[in-house]
Amino acid sequence: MTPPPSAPEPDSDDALMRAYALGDARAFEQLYSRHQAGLYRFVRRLLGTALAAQTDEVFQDTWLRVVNARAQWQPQGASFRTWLYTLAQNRVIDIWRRSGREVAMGDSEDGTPWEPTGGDAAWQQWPAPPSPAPQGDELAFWRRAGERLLACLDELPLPQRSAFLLHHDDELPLAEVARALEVGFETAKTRLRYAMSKLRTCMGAYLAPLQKETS
Amino acid sequence: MSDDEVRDAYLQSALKHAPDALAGPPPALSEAILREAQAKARDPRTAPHAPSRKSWWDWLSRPSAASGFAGVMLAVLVGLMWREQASDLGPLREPAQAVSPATGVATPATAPQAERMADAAASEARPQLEGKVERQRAEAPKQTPKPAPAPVLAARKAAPPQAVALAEASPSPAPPAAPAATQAPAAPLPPATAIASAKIGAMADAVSNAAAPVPAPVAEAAKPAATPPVEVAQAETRAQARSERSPQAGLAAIAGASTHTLARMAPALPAPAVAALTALRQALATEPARWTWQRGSDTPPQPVTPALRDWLATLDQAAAGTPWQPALPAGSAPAQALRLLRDGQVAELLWWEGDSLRWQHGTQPPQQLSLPSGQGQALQQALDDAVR
Repeated sequence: MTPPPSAPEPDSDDALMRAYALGDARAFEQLYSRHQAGLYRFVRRLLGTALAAQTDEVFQDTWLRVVNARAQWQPQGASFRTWLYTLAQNRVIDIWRRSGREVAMGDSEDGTPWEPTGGDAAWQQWPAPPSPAPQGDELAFWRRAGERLLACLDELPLPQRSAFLLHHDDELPLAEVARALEVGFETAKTRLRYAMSKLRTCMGAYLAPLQKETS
Repeated sequence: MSDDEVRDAYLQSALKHAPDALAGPPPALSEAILREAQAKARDPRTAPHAPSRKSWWDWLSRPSAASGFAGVMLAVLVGLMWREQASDLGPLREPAQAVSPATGVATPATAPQAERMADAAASEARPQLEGKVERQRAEAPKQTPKPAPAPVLAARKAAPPQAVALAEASPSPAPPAAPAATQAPAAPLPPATAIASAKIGAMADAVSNAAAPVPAPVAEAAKPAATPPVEVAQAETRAQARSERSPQAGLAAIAGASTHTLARMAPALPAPAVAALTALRQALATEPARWTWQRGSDTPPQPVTPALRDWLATLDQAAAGTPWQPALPAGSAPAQALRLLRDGQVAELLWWEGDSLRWQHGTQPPQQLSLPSGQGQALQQALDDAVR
């Protein structure tokens, strides 16, 4: 059940953005410190290995757009965070197109959510997800799994990549993912499922030799 | 089915342990962004005003708004051009009186021009009323003896019956109108000015309200009369000052132009002698350099002295209670008549016939002021002293 709309908390993103629009520079500093790490990571992973050098440029442009658009900014249903990621994603699309890469926004989905067949079957041979602070071999395993995941991400089309990152890394609800990507809910859901399926397959292929080594 | 999609814990764990999981922007980049944000926050011009400027330009770029704006600019341009045209025609009035080569009669040179300009102003200001005015002009010959504006009508009602009869019988209504004006001393404006004012008011009404009634075209039927150029100059000055005070008001500018034009019509309108005498005194006071006097055509012209102006003031006072009447028989001025010259041209002639003072203004028929015996002799003596 969705709670009724109420006035934003004094330190909420929306309230801070409003304060910055009225000239409060400290409000912007709070916003920046709150979102800078997640946004930087999102931009870097969305650009991929090939375009990682342009992470700083996209990151800076995104924040400057926030600065310049402060007077016109209105929540209008989307949170500041969603809007911030929308700006970043649009800027990444520009970079992609500028570099000659194809940005296939249509994917293969046509509105009907794709249903995974295997589900969690891909992880049957994996160890359990790590504890919050893994140590030793467990930590080494997951670091290598992380490296592998970044490589798998590079294989995804941009729309699926952004859906996955927003949902799994930045932990936006799917509805917010749809808003950030400026697509319908079902489209976002399908993109996400495609991304997860491909990543599981990619990671499972990685796991087999890894498990052989460990055994 | 849940609204949200379940996150894959394995993929999420892999993301958290990826090599770039702790990556962040370089400190220099963060500083640059924060500095820019602070600078923009301190700059009050960019936040609230930029969108309003932008929205204004966006609004102006719409075809409907742009066409409306262009229309307003065009109206202002036409108004300015009209005002310029009215100002450019000003020097045409400069030779206040010119002798007609065909008749040898001095007529105000600007009267036809002023009439044409008045007609042009009327036609431009209220084209929709043109037909109505034309109809009234067509009817004017039938109604010429019946002037329409209320002040004139009132003055005529107050005038003696014989004066009204003379006015209606004469093709030149100026001299017969003089007694009528003297019968209404309370009215500050002479009938000529009243007619001009009525027409000015009608023009202003026509500009502001096309449906307003239009006075009958008395001015068109009127002949040149006695309002001196100084009044015209004053009217021009007032009109120009008015238009300069509010140059942005288009209607006011048009009304000012109409006033400017119609003020120059004043000499063409009939005026009573008493008003002309007052105007003559004003002209002598304001333009003394242009006026001279002589007694006898073989004597050199002499500048107008204060004594002569004082005598005219005395005459003005003496004439206040006595009506001017047409001089019968008219006769011609004797050689010893006092001639008042404006720019070297004879403008006024004054002479005595017994106790009666006769005054010929320009080429108009002479008028006569019959004074009591003692007062007439005293005035004669005073004139002799003033021009000695």
